[in-house]
Amino acid sequence: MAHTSPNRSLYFVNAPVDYFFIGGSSFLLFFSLLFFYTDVRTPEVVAAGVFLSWIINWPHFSMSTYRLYQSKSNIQQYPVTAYFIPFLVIGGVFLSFSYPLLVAPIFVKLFILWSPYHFSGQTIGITFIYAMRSGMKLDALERKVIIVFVYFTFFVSTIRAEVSRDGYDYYGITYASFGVPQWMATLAEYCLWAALVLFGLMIVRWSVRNRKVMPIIIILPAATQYFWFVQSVYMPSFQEFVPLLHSLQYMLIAWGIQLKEKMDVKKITPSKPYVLAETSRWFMINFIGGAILFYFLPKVGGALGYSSLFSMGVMFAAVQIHHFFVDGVIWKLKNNSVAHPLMMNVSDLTGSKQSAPVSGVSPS
Amino acid sequence: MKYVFLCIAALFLLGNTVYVYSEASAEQRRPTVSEQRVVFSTSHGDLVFAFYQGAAPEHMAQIIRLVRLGLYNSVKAFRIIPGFIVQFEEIRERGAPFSREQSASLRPIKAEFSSEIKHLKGRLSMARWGNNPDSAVSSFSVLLGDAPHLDGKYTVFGFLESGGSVINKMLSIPLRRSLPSKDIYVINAYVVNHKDEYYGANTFDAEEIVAGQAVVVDDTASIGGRRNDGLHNVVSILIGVIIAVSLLGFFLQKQLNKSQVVSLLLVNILISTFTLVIVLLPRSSDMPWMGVALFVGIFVLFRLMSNFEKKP
Repeated sequence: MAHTSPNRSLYFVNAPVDYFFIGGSSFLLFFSLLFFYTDVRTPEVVAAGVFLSWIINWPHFSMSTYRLYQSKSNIQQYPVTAYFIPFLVIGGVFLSFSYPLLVAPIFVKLFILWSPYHFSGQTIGITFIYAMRSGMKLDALERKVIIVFVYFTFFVSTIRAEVSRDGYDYYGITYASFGVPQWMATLAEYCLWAALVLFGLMIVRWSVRNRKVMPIIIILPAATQYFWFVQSVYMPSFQEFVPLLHSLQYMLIAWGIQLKEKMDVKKITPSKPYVLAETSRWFMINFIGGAILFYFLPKVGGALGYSSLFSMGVMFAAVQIHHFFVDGVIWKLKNNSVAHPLMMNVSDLTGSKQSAPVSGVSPS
Repeated sequence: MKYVFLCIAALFLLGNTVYVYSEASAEQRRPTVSEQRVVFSTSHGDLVFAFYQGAAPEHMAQIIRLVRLGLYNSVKAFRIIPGFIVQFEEIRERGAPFSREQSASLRPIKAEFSSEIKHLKGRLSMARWGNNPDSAVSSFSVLLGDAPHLDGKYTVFGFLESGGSVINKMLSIPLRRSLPSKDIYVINAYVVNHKDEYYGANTFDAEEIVAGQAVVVDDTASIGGRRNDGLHNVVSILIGVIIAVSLLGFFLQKQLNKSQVVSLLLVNILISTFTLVIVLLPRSSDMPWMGVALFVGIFVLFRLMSNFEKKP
């Protein structure tokens, strides 16, 4: 059942780097913050969150846009997303500015609800990518258990928030909650615990059937999401960093694919200078892209006479809704001259000898 | 496929028409308004407050008592959230010393929730401490937008009768988060026993009251009317977009592949759901099942959206 190529590594870079990006950073941060526990987001935490947004969170949005629009071939593969969705989102922005009390709160609410759903999709995607890289074949039941567990972490956190009738504030835009009954939150929590037990049993079942322990990196994304959405409720400071941690996961894989694709398409010889130069170029483009999307774009609304806070809220929501659409297609982009970008390893890029498999999964 | 597009557009149009009519008829009632008015002469101009005497008598009595004791003088408007509220701080925050009588009068009052008087733009909503509904003392807010999520949680006791332009001046002050960068304070607060005592002796923008501009609210019907006007426009625009997307799908169906046509249909479903949430979310405070239905609907939508431009 389990099989992999003896020459492929389970990791995009290596075990420490992949573990750090995929979930280790979340656990490190969570347990570090336990030592400085407060029941509010302190100004220091907010300041750190804003600073890190410039270099992690905002570029991550630019990365998805850049990936879709960087080539004509990409745009042609998904024309509705590439051409039509920007107009749809801009329409939402115009309506939000025109009807700040009617439309803007629902526009923001749409993004607030969609965001954790999108996180869940990424968590499942990364789990399956590492399963594929390890050569591990998950059967339909195992896949369902992973999906159910991940989505219930998201359901629990979302339903908890929607029970309140007080509503919430996002950059001065107040949006109402659905006011779902408390029993739904309680039921979702029981379902989560059941899903957690099933998730544990699935790991045991797989390990027994394959006579080896399931690689931790495959369990890590779901476990990380559990901390993001369920445990973080007791740690407001940690919540501040959850979008950054999600972006960090994204960056690792987006970086790998970007470098592998460019190398294959342009037939660049693998080398360390290529990795350094292309990484710098790609990051700088997306750093600037992130600044345009999240710093300069909201200023347009301010310049047009709207409250800058309100403008930020609407623009942030718009950029993220656009991202959810774009992210739905960029991982499916195909290029015949690129060989298995999701299976790349940094050694493919540097030209150094590939590392041996470290998954614990023996080749068939 | 064209019939599917057109049927969805038609059903949606019908559903919204029915809703808008029912909404308009529900906004006809007018609560009783007291003759007394409270005037806040602020650093930015006069605000005139009227009270819903029958609905929140304790709150009205409390505010008038505190005003007569001079307790609102020098209180600041400390929190401004555009589209939501301008909030006056608790009297105990003002810094000036209190007499024994003044201090004794600063006691909490019980909530007076009303199912008739909702949190609508221009109304006055009493603040409270934490989650205790019976902890309101003196801080209150002028609502700058409808806030149905506060219904049944906070007491609405009156409305801003005149001073919309003053509120607009306050809104023009740059904010640091929700804190005004320049102090807005009450220079003098006083009670007039009949509204004519104030309007007969002071200059004010009469048109402002009649037309109900900015945040000035003359009566409930005008608020309902304005909300419905906005809602009508938004719903009409969104239905227009749905029809435009349907026509786009219809005319381009030969150029588009199946996945692209399905994606345009998904766009229509997204816009339809968005419209329904705009229309129905304010209702969910009265009808919890509505909130559940919308919540479930949104997640079905997300699930559907994962098929966006999915290759066959």
